[in-house]
Amino acid sequence: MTHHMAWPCAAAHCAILCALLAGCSTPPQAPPASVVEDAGPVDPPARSTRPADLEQRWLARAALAESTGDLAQVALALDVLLLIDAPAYRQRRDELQGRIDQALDERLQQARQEHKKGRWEAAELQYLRALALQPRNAEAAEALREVDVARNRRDYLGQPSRVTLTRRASVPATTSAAAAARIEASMELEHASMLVTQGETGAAISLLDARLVRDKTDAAARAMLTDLYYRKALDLKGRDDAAAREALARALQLSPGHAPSRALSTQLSPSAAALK
Amino acid sequence: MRSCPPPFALSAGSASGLHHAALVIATLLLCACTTPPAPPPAPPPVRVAVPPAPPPQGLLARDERLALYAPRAGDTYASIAAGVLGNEARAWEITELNGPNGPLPGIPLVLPIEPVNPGGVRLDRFQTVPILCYHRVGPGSSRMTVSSARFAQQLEWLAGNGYTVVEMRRLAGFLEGRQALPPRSVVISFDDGYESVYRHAFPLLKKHRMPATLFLYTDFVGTGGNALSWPQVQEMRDSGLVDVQAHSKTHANLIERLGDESEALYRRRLDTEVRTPRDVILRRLPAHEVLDYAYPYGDANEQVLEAMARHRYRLAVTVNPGGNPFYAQPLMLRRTMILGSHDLEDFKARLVVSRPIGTP
Repeated sequence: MTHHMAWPCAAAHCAILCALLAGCSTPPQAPPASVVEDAGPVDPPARSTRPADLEQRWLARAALAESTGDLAQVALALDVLLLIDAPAYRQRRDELQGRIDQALDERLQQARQEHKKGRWEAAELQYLRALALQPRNAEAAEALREVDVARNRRDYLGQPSRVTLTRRASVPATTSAAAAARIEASMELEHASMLVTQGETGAAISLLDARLVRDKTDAAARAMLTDLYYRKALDLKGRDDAAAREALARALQLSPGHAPSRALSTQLSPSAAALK
Repeated sequence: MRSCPPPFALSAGSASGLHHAALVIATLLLCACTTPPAPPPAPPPVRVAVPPAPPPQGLLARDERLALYAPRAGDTYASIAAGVLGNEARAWEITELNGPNGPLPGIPLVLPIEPVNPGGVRLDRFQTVPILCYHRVGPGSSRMTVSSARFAQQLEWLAGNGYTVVEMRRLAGFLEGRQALPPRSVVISFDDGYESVYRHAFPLLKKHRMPATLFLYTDFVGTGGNALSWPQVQEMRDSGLVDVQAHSKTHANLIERLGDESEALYRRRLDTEVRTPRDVILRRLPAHEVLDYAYPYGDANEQVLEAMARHRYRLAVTVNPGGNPFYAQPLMLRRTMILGSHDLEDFKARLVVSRPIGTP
C-alpha cells in the first residue's frame, strides 16, 4: 500500500475516532439551578480575525487601483491586507514600495530642479505628482508650502488691489454723523476694490459712480473710479476704440489731470489713428 | 487552498499497524472520556443555554497608520470616530475606507489611525477648500447684498449635495497636515459686521447647523444703523455656530502708508490694526480665541505678515479668488466673494473643491 492509498484508510479511522469522541462528549453538567441563566438571543457566530470578506474586498480594491495605475491606493489596500495577514502580503507590499520609491525619486528630482530655477508652477506639478504616489511625503508637502509663499510674493504681496491713496480714514471724525459717513465711505471703497479683485470691474464702477453721486467730495472714490475707467479703456483698446475713448472721456471728466488717461486718449484720437 | 498533509506519516505495509494503533488510541480516548457517574439531576428542570463566544470587539490589529476594529452593537461611524479616533468629525474618513452602510457587529472595519491622505492629493486631482465671503444678507440691490432667498437656496444646495461646511479652525489643521477634511469642504465667512447677518443669515445657519466665521471691523460694531450690536454678536457666538474673528480696527488698507509716515509709525499703526480688534473682541467675549484675520481690501505686504506673526495670528484671508489647497500659505488664504447678482449656477461655479493636477 502506498502512502497515498493509506491516507483514506487512516482518515476513515480518524473519522471513527472523532465520532467516538463526539459520542462521548457529554453535555456539561447542569449547574445548580440558581446560577443557570438564559443567554437570550444567540449572537451570530464570531468572525475570525482573518475576515475573508474584508480580505476579498481589499484585494479587489488593490486590483482596481493597480489597473488604473494608482499606486498610492494599491499601497493603502496592501497595508490593510498586511493587518489581516502580514506573511501573505509582505513580499507584494515590499515590491510595490520599490516601484513607488523609484517613481517618487524621478518626480522629486524633477521637482527640485524646477524649484531651484524658480519655476513655481512646474515645481508644483511635480511635487503634486509625488504626493499622488505617496500622500504623506513630507518633502513634497513642505516644498509645496514654500512654492505657495514664493508665488504669493510674486503675484500678490504688497500689490494694492486698487490705486494707492492717502486714507481719509486717518482724519479723525468730529461728529457721529461724520464717523458714520467715514465708515460708509471706507466700506464702499473696500467693496469696490474687492469687486475688482474678483473680476467684477463693471460692478465696481457702478458702485463708485453711485457713491460719487451721493458725495462729490469723496476724493478716494474719485481717484479709484478714474483708475477703473482708465483700465477699462486699456482693456477695450484695439477691440473697440470708440468704447475705449468713451471710458477715457469719463476718466478725464473725473480727473482732468490724470496723465495716463491723457496719454492714452492722445493715442486713440481719430487724428492719431489716421496717421497710422 | 493549501493541501492538508495526512495526520500520520505512513509507510507501505503499515496499514495493519495503523489499525492497531487506531484501536489503541480510540480505547484510550474512550477511557479518558468516560465521565464519573452523573450526579442526581438538579431539582427543577431548567433550560440551559450556553452563552456563545462573544464576537471579537475592539481593536483586532493595528500598525501606526491603520487599525482593524470589530464594532460593538449600536456603534456608528461617528461613535467609533469619537471613541477610537478621539474626534467625531473624522467619521467621514471611516466612511471613505469602509463604505457608506455603517458598521455591523462582528464585521471588522478599517480605521485610519492617522489621516490616510491629509492633503487630499489623488492621482489626477487635489483638494481645495473654498472660503466663501459674504457681506450683507437680506433686502437691497447692492452687489454686496445677497438676498435671503438666494442665501437659503445656497445653503440648501450645500446641504443637499454632499458639501460639508467646516469651521476655520479645521482649515488650520488641514493646512498643518494634521487633519484631513471631507472632500467637499467649504468655509463660510461674513465681513465687516452688518446687522443683516444676525437678522437674515443667522437663522438660516441655525436651520442647517452650519458654522460660519464673522470677521469684525471693530470700530463699526455697536455704532447703530447697519452695524451689529455686541449683544447680537454674543448671541451668535454663544450658539456655537458663529466664530468671531478680526477684520482690523479702522478698516484701513494695511499696505498703504499715510503721507510721510515713517517706517516706525507705520509699524506701530499696523500693530494697532492687528492687536486692537482682538482686544476689543476679547473684552466683549471673554474666553474667546481670536486667531484669524481678514485683511481690509484683502491686501497684505511683508510688514503686514510680520505683524500677523508677531501677534500670533494663525490664519488670514485675502480676497484673491479660488480654493485653498493644503499647502496654501496660512496668512494669505484665498477667498471667493458671493455677490447679490450670483444665481445658483454662478454659486456652484465658485465652489472650487478640487483642481486637476497640471492646471494652474
